[in-house]
Amino acid sequence: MSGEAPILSVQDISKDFVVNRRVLHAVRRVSLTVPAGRTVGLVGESGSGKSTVGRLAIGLLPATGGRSVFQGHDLSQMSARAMRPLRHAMQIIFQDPQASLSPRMTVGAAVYDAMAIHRLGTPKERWSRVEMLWERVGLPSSIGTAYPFELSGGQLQRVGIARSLAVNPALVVCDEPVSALDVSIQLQIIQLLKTLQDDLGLSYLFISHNLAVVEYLSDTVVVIYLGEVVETAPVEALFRRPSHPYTRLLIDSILRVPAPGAPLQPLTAPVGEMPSPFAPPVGCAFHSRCPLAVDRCSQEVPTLRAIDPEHWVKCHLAD
Amino acid sequence: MADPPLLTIDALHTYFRRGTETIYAVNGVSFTVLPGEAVGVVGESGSGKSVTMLSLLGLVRGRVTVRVAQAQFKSWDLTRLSRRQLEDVRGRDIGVVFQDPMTSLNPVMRVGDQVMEAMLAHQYAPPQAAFRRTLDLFREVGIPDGAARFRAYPHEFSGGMRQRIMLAVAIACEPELLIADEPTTALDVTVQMQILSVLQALRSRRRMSVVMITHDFGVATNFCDRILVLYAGRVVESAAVTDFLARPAHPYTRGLKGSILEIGSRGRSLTPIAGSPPTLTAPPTACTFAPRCPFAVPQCAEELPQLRTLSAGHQVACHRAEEVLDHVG
Repeated sequence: MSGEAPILSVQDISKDFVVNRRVLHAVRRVSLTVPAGRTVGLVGESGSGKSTVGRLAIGLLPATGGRSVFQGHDLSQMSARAMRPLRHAMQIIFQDPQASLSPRMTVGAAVYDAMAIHRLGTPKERWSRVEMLWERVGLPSSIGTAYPFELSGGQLQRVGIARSLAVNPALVVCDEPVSALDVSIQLQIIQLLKTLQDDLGLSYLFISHNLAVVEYLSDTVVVIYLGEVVETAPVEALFRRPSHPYTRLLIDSILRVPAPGAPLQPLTAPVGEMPSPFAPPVGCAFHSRCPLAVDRCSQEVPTLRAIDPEHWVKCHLAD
Repeated sequence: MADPPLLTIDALHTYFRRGTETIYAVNGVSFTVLPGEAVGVVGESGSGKSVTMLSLLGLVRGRVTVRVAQAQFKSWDLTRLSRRQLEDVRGRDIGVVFQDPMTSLNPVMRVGDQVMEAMLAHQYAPPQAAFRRTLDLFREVGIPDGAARFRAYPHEFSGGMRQRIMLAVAIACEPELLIADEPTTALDVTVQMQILSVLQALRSRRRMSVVMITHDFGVATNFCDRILVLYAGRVVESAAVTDFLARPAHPYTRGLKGSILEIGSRGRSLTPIAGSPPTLTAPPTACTFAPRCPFAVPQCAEELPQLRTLSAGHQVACHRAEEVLDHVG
């Protein structure tokens, strides 16, 4: 850990949902820390609980256990009303920006509205800030009078980013912000997020199932499986030495474009699917899919332990 | 290869009427698919890659005009088939798989019945045989415990399992051609790998041809034999995967390849293609990629480049293809 105070510290946070009178342990004792001005990447398959962690982290969902501390405030101890003055500082952008924009409001009004809700500035100041934000996110100022349906996916994501920036956030939770975009537009948005971080000192909790994007943007990576952290490390260490079999499975399953003349990647199916979160396996949650599993793995829950000072792995066999 | 093509499409055009405008979605697409061949159709959203395939299958709806000089599948001229006949070919001889299985699975029908129905509707097999074959198909696409799962409903399955059920429906009548429209786009990489390994096994076992519509170059290059690159409703490059990897000749193909973010890209500067693809409200009369193209010269804004052959099996629609090939980087 670095000496400076983190902007966000998620500590042993858990979330249970009750579905049809059955308890679903969506998130189980997850801890992570986002240092100011840095990016923490959170990766896992669909259903792993990564989006739920993002919502718990900024108090959009109440936790069942544990806590999230943002800029020194324990969000779990605060009422919605008490949290309100902090809200503008913790923003979230989604995979589908259209879902968070009113179809009947121009995108300029939507960005203005974000400031009005938080009572930031005078109306005149807000409109001039809207203009400044279009430039900041690389949109022409003529876009302000457009409605969401008139814009492309890439333009909409820029509008979503402009709206979250409007209220001067310190932390932005990015929940799969580029997953629905074409590759070339993905790169444009990734570049924009990086530039904004450098210029404004933003901190990101970057949630994605795309490991290449996470590697590009993150300083630290957290890998989550069935609601639990199974590996976390600084980005270089994680990709140089992925140490949990699940992390390796994720990396090996990516189809890369072969170099000219190089052999194609074999299309071999990995074993099994993610088990039902209602009935997670006994012992190590991953043992039912693990090519390395031994008897101990189906009996004893591994602990998250350090194999290097900042490299933690939840596996009996990791060294 | 001496085999005649399984599918031959010549000069396909598809236009949509939207309000007072006409959207020119497909503007003269021609291609062939050989028996047993897997063709990857790649391009950005709006490139016309899905509309091309849906047009052939009679699946485009709304105020739409489809024109084609030739559409030959096996011995059938698809343009001369009635709606009924086309429906019969589709599902029996041509299987179709979409990105979202819930668009083609019936939510209130047991999954086993849906696979059986495909066979019964096309008189492929009588009920008893169709039932047995459904269980075989479940095994073939990797649905464990098929007999018990036969009576389950689609919502009881995960996304990856639903995709397999749709695949079982699509291949039930042993089609010679499978059209797969972004079949793994919504899936996790581990599940994507499972589905592709099932598809590859089907290809080698049955010599089935596949047209794989995808925006994922990793999927296209590792699964397919040949790649078609579409831009603004036209084929801009067609190449065997080896040529596609070693000698991409269209600036757009190069741009797309340069846009791929892979592990190991950290710290490198990114080179996205500037701008976005056009929506055409008039038929193209010049190169539609020219406004985004680093190789563009005045000719590109005046003259529509036609698809021309660079070497055996490698075609490109670019006035400057030779310069592009000579350009290192």
